[in-house]
Amino acid sequence: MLPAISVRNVSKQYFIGTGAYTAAGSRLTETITNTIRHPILTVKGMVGAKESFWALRDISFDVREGESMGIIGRNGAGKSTMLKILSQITYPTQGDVVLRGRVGSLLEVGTGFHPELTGRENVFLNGAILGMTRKEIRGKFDEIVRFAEVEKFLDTPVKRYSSGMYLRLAFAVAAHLESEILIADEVLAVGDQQFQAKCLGKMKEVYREGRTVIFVSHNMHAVRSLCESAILLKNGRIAAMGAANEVIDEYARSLETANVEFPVEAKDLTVEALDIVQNGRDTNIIDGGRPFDIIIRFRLPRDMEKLRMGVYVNNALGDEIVRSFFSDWDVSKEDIKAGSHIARLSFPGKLLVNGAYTITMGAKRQGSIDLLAGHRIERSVNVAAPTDFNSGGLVDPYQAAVILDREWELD
Amino acid sequence: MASSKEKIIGPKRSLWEVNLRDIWDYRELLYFLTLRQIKTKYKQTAIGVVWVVLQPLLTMAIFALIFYRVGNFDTGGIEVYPFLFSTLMLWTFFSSALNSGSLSLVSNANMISKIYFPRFLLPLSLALAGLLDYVISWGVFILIMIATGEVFSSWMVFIWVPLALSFILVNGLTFLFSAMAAKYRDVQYIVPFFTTLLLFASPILYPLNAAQDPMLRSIMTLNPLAGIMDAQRFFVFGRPEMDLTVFASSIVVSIVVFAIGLLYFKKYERELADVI
Repeated sequence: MLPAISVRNVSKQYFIGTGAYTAAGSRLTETITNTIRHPILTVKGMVGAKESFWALRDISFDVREGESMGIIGRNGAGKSTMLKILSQITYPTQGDVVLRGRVGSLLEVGTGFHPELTGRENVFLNGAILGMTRKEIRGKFDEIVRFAEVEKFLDTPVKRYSSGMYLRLAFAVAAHLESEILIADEVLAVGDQQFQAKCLGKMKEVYREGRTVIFVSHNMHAVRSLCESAILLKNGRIAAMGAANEVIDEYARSLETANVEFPVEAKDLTVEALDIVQNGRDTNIIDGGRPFDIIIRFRLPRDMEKLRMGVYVNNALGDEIVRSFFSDWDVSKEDIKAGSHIARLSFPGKLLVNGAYTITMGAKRQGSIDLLAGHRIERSVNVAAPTDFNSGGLVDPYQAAVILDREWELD
Repeated sequence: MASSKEKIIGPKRSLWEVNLRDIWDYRELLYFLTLRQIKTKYKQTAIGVVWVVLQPLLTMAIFALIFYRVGNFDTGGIEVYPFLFSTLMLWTFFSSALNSGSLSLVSNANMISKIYFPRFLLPLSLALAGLLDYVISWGVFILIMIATGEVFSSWMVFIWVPLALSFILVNGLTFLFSAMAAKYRDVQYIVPFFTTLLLFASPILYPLNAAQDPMLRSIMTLNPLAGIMDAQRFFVFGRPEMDLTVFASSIVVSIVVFAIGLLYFKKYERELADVI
């Protein structure tokens, strides 16, 4: 049987400056001045196309009917571009994609929702945008409304909805789209915990019904539970393809950017290991909802005083989120005897928001002498959001650096 | 998207291939987009739908009071108010469809970058929504006719012709401008200026035969709105006599503009999500 999705040698080129990577539309004057200054070159298309890059390069894969496949990779690896090509929003520069069956694509929930329209009106509008017929929507209307739990507010303009209600309704419409092929972005990350579980359940149901699913996500737990196979994209190319578990492990390994060779032997300090341990094993993928250990094994050639050793945690933007030294709460830990030591920190869960972090070791004496001078000891880790954290979802994404493991009391 | 069994997404597509199947599959989306426009246009305005008729009414009042008292144009014996309103209501349909349609892709950029649908449904739905406004202003026009004692001519059976031509013309222009605006934001400054220019370069506030100068005459022949407005007035009042050369020319130019707009749109449609 022919595969539901065939991707053949797909490449996508963007022009920097004229394409998606300019903030606004380019100006007419530029084109006019270019045309006046370089009339022949302009006609030949040699001016204006100064720099280009390939967002995707020679991508080929098949998805069987009824298969569910995850697409993973770091930001900028080409996941979104692949998704947009599969959804027919943008077109490949080379190669082609064959889709066999009715396609539903969910790059966001609530596309086309109008704040002034009522919930009822938006269900029909959004349904039509997703490709449903009026008859289909009418047939599923009650089910959609029940799923979204907004029965009482059907005739209220959605601008009066809470963000939770808005997202529930938006997801509910999308979830009832009956397509043979479903292409979904991280739409699961919406609403509160209870609703997220419901959404995940609905996605699994879609998959169990034998429909073909392509799912793009940063959330490895969701990919693991939803997808049987996966492809890993890296710099626009396929870096790994196969069973979801294996590809996810491959992805985890690829996160180790700076491969530090242990032991690191500096003049007055030897570091044997910097381990990040969760669930009893060394890992780069951390469940942000639970604590993990940072373990440093090191050796001092002689007794030393006034040591300030520990770790820095920086986020993907380079901001320092945490600095934690051995002696933070106990000044006596500034003085360490010669010999081998193991320093262990239990890093709390529910503190880091999801994203990529770098954990770097620091060791200074008397505040200024860098014992690691010339050596860089760091680990790259990926923290997944705590599954029970209500982020507010897409409408109200949190911008903060940290979250608190504390609940409000509300009387 | 409904029932197509196999879809191929590749880099190239013929310019001439108009996907009729797509249009049919997405007819309901066109309906809902039009409905959305109608329902939201005057939401949260104090007088709502009154705005539909207020625009041509105010323009009519200003020009009737100032220019026709001072300038003494010859309306060919037609009362000034219905003379002006007959063309101004068609102009209001045309100009608001032109302005909103030209920006329709830019203002729905989010939709375009998130989901596939035939993009021309956006400008088209705005023009369709404008038709309702036009029908409403007919109610006011009939009242003006009665109040001023003017009578409809038997040519009224053809009154849909200028409307149909305006519809074709305005869609051609919005296809062109909306696709250009996606890439060149300059268009959003040019269109209002172009609209003002068109208002004065077309026989909307004055009769076509007021333009006797040879240069003005050739402008009128090239400007498709000239024949449309002249016909609109003739079909309503049965006078002044219609200029058939100008009218024939406006049919040809409207169709040519529509074809150019559609081809330009088709050519850039696939790049929209990348440039918008």
